[in-house]
Parts: sequence; structure tokens; C-alpha cells
Amino acid sequence: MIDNKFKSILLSVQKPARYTGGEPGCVYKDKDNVDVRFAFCFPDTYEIGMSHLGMKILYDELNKQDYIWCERCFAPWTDMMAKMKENNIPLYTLESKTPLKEMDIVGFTLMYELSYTNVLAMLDLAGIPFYAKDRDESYPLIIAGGPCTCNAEPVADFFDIMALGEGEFLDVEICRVYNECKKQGLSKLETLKALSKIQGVYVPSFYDIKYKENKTIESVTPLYDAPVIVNKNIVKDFANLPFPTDTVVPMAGAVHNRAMVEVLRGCIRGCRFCQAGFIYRPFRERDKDLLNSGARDLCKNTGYEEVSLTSLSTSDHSKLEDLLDDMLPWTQQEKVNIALPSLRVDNFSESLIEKTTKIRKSGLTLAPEAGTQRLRDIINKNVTEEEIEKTAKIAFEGGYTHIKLYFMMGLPGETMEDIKGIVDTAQKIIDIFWSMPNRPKGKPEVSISVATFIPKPFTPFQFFGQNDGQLIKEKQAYLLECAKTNKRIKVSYNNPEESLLEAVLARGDRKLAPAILQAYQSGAMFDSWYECFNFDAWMKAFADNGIVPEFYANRFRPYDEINPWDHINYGVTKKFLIEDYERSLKAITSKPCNKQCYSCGANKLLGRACFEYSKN
Amino acid sequence: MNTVRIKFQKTGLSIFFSHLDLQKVMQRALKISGLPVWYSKGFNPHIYMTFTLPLSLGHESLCESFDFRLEEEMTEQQILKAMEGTLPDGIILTAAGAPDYDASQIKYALYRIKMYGEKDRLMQCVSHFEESDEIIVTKQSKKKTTDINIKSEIKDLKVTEESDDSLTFTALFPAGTTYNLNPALLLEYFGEKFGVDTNGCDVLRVNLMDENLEILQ
Repeated sequence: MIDNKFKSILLSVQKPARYTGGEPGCVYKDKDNVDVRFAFCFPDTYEIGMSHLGMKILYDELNKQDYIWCERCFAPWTDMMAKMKENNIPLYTLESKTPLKEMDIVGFTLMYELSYTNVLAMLDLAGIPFYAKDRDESYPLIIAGGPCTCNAEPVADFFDIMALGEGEFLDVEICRVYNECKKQGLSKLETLKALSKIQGVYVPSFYDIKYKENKTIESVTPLYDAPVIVNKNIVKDFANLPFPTDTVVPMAGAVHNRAMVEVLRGCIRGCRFCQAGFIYRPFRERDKDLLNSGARDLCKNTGYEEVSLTSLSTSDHSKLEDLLDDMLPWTQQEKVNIALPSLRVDNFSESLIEKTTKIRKSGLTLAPEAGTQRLRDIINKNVTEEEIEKTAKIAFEGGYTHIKLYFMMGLPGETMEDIKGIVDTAQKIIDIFWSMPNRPKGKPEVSISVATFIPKPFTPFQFFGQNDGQLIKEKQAYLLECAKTNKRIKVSYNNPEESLLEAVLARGDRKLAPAILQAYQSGAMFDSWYECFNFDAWMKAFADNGIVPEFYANRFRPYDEINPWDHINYGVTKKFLIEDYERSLKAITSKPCNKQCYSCGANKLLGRACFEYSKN
Repeated sequence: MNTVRIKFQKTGLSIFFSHLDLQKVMQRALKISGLPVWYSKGFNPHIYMTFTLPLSLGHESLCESFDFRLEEEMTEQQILKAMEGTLPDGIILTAAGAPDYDASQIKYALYRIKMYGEKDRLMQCVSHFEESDEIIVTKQSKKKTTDINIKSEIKDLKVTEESDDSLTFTALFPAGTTYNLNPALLLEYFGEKFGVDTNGCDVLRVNLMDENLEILQ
């Protein structure tokens, strides 16, 4: 499988174990005994991809079917990519080392917009034409899934189909229908027609898009009986949905190398900036006994020393404390640490901190998101100053000395006062530390990480124009100015150029495709890696293709404008998004979903109410 | 509590991950095995593991081992059975039992090295080695780089197999807890001088020996 020449190449690049497979938990099948061969591609490095829970879930789900063999593939790092090109080694799957071109279906998961060029790099390395229209039946079906497919219009021309929403059943259904079409010897067009009947399948080439002179969308016309509005797919009975209890365990450093258990899906909070909070609606939680037994099996089968209870907001699981009580005996006995990565400031309790730090102490990160109460109300981050202070106090009492705070800048309605408020919040936490008689030994440290806000589709802020680069730079400079008096406060923020690019791609349309391709061909790749980010290549590609980035990023979008994602339905209606945006303008907060329903529309996907409101 | 030494081979795909990764792999394997492994009693309990002699990334070995502690007495068969299916491709366990020698006894490692390329060029490497009085290579450590003469350190270099496009030799390299000579240094030297593809060579650690050249096993 690995000859001498290949071995020599592997030993000449960094971390070769990323390219060999062979990890415990890999699934091997006989290629002659399966009907559908599926390459699950993650368009970033092995370390990032192997930390991704979605890939583990779908790998497990697809491989449960006898007729499907799902294998993994990641973007080779630049050194390996160069060697592969030089030696004419096509991109291959890790399990069987089969070139992607020989697979039936090649699926990419689109987790973030800045991985789009890596998709092109992987197609290129596999010798597969970029544009869907240039691929006939001899090529695998190229499909996309993941959160970005809620508006992956900028890359729509590169994909044959997109799988919208939750993949557990959807991906298997796609394989089943594909297999039937393959057995009948149907053409690619007929296969796409059959696939377009599945809920959640979006065939970009079946939609004709006309533009107005002002570059906005005039109309979207479905072809071949394709649905006018494509609904995402969801798992209705999430409570009893089994999850993988044996996963591939990477040998070499995945970023999050631990057992992961998804305790709930969706989010009740409705933070207006958060795309995940809207596109994963409706809120559903897993049965606590299923979680407990599954987590235990997962740790037993993988040997991990840490199990992470993941979700958008783990402390919103109604039975979390009970679950932790059930998990504590075995985790303590088996020396497994429980990590709660997404706790909320407003229901962070002493008993929670006690239960999760019994074995090992991990870091503490809080996300106030904005520096003042007024701005937190605008973005609907319903966290009060007192709650932040109370949480910091509990954390210090629990022995933590280092607290990390996440903020954003460039939010709607933001002023310089709000920027100062970020530093004031950090300062207050430090003051609390010194004021405590029972404080832990050492000195406190507060790290504030301030990301530039990027408006995303399917959020109430989808209409809002992103702050331009100049304004962001001014705000960043002011932030540093405010923070320089206290050296116990560490400030970090991201590159405004990267944020601009992400904003363009997030709300972009199909006119961007040639520019993305040109950017890739002139060297843009691994755009989310600062050492690779090539802003000049992007700006030139935009200019050469008549793309004005500000049109996509910085412009307010009128409510009646047709957005590139308006023919796609993720549950929340545009009517609701407009109402919620209007509320934000008046700094009126919305209550969590379990307290009050604002008729966002997501319950229609479920076919019933999300909560039993009579209980409240 | 008793100390157990597991002996294993590192071959095939498993040569591509590092010693550090190997430690984590073994720690997880012990955890999956369900064996009554002893954990350190400190604030941060962990499995107490000692590897006899680290192996370079890219090298195969037939004679690797590591020690850990068990809280109960167990037979070799029980241990090996429990460890089945817990390891990545290419790691093969060969024995489990009480440690039979101390790492400080190790003085030499026997390597079998297969080089690929034109026959003449490969033969040239060997004859150059045999004819030279000294072979100076640069050894890099974290702190400094030093030039050393490896000719006097490498013993018993013997050609064991030849073909049109490969040459295999065995040799003894200093090894152990105090001083180690990585065979890659010799191969890099051959690479620079005669254009041998250093990374393409098959390097196999066959066994470990004490100062009297007795095999430790």
C-alpha cells in the first residue's frame, strides 16, 4: 500500500501520520462487496477535521449500512500538497488509499467559509474538474453538507448537490437513491432529478438565477420540478437518536482529541449574531440515560481520558445536573474528566464547577460577547453584569486564576463606549479577584479575545452591513489604548481583512464562483490560517471578476431584497428575522424559546410545538 | 502492585507517528484494555509508563518495550488478550511479563538497513564506509551541534543481501540511556555523498545488546 517512493515522500513532510490512516477505530470493508463508496472530505487539516464531531457521526452512520463504505480524506498541508503534485499522486482516501476520482460520492463538509479554496485545492489534487457542469457520469457525485450550505451560493456551481440540515438520515438516503439510480444506469441529470425529491437535497443547477442591473437578485426559478423552496432535513426524534460509541481515534494531535457527546441540538437563546443558534433550530435534547450509557461506552471503546458534553449551550439541558450525577461515579472510577465547553454565564453554578473539576482542572472561558448591558440587549445576549461578576467569583473560589472572555466588535448599534466597556468588564473581574479574602494563590489573568462581527444568513442581523475595515481598525486601536494600563489584561483580536472576506463569502451569491476559483489558482488556500492568508490574491480576483466586496459585506440589505439564500428554508422565516431585527434596534430582548415562543417557524419542521408551554 | 514489561513491534503504517504519539497511543490502549492499571496518586492521576528506548519516526523495530504497573498479578496471556484490538495498524505485541533487564544495560542496537537505488552507488556507500578512517557527521541536539566521527562508533557493518536496485546491511550502533547514535545520521551522510534517498531507506531495529554484545530480551 505504501511503496518506497511514497514512504520517502511521507518522511519528508511534517507530521506524516496525517496521511497514512491506520488509526484504531478505522472501518475497512471489501471494496468489491459494497455498492456505494463515499469519501468524506474535510477541507482543512487532519488535526482540525479529526476534532469535528459531525464527521465522526456521519462516518458511523454511513458505515452502519453494509452497502456503503465511507472513508476519510483531509486537505494535505501545503508541504504535502506540493509533494503530491510534484510526484503526480492524486488525493486519496485514508482507509484504502483510493484516489477520490474512483469514488461514487465525494462529500465535503463546509464548516466555515474560509475553507472554500481548500475544497478547490482538493478537487484539483484529485484531478476532478471544478465546475459541476464540466463533470459527466464518469466522475463521482460531488456534494456538500455542513452549516455553510445554508448559503453556499458562492460555491454552488462547484457542487452537484448540497445536503441541507442534519445529515444522519439524509446522507444515507442520498446514498440509497444514488445506488438505485446507478443500478438502473441513469444519467447524471436523471440521478440529480431523483435526488432532488429528497427533503434537504438542493441541486444548485436546478435553479436559474436572474440578476437586476443593481446586481441584486431579480428572480430564482426552479427547473425540472425542483421544489421552489428547499427545506432542510432534521432528526425529529433526537431524544432517542443513538450516537457513535466507537470512533476513529487519531494517533497524532487532533486539536480536540477527546470523547465528544452531543447532549442537545439547537439553542433556546436566540442570540441575534449567532448563526448556529438559528440554523440548528428547533431545540431538542437527548435522553439523559442514553447520554450517560453512550458516553461510558464511548470512553471505554476509545480510551479517552476526557469526555466533552458538547452542544451550543450545554447548561440548557433540562437534566444536566442529573446527568452529571449519573456520570460522576464511573468517570471518577475510570479517571475520566468531564468537560463542559459551552457553559452560560447565567446558569453557571457552584455544583456544576465542582462536578466538572473533580478529576482535572481545565480552563474557564466565558462569553459576554459585548462590553455593555445596552449592547448585550441589542444582540440579545441575555447576560447581566452581576451574573458575569458572580461567575468570576465562583471560578476564583474554585481555584481558577485565569479567565478568558470572548467579545465581538462591529455589532449593530455599537459605539466607542461599548469598546471601552469590554476592558471595563475585564478590569472588574480583576478587581473582584483582589477583593476576595479567600482568593487562590497567584495573580489573576484575564484574556479578552475580540472577534470582528460578521453578519450571517438566517440571523436577524443578516440585513446589517458589516463595519468597514477602517472603522474596525479604529476600534481595535481604541481597545488597545483602553487596555494598556493593566498588564494583567491580555488582548487579542483578528485580522479585519480576514473578517471582510468571510463576510463577503457568507452572504455572497453565485457571481462569486469565478473569483473564488481565480483566488485559489493564484495561491489562496488555507485562508483561515494566518500564515497562508493571501488577501492580495483575493482582492485581485474580486477586481478581475467585477466583484465589489463592499456590496456583499458592508451594505444594509433592504427587507424586500431577494437574498441569495431566500429559496432555502432552515425553519426560521424571514418575517421572524425582520421582527427580531426590529426588536434589536429598540434594544428589546427576546426570551429564550422555552419561556416564550416568537413563532420563528422552526417548529413546522418538527410538526409540533418545541416545548410544552403549559408547564411554565 | 507489580511492574509489567510489554514487548512490541512497530512496523508498517505505525512508523509514521512519533515517540510522543506512541506514548498516548499506549496509554489509551491500556485504558481500553480494562486492565487494572496502576495510576499515580497525585493531583493529576496518570498511568505511569516508561519506554525502554525511543525509536525514531520512520524506523521499524522488532524489539520495542515499555513498562507500566498493574495493581494485581496477571498472566502474560491475560494481558495480551486484554490488549487485543486496542492498537493502531502495525503495532504488534509480542510478550508481557516482568522486566528482564534494566534499560541502563543497553549499549548497542543491531539495525538492518535496506537502501534503494543503483547497485553501483549503493556498493560505493559500503566500500567508502569500510575504507574511510573517519566519517564525520554533524549531530544536532536541542542545545548545540557537534561534529562526530561515527566510523569508530559503528561496529560490524555487514552486507547481507544485494539486488539490482537495493542493498541490505546490518550494523551495530551505540544505543542506550546515556549515549545513542541514530542510524539516520549515517544514511544522511550516504545521501549527501552518494545521493542515496535517505527517507526511502527501510530501517529496522532488530535487537538490543549489552556491553558484551549479548542480546537483551
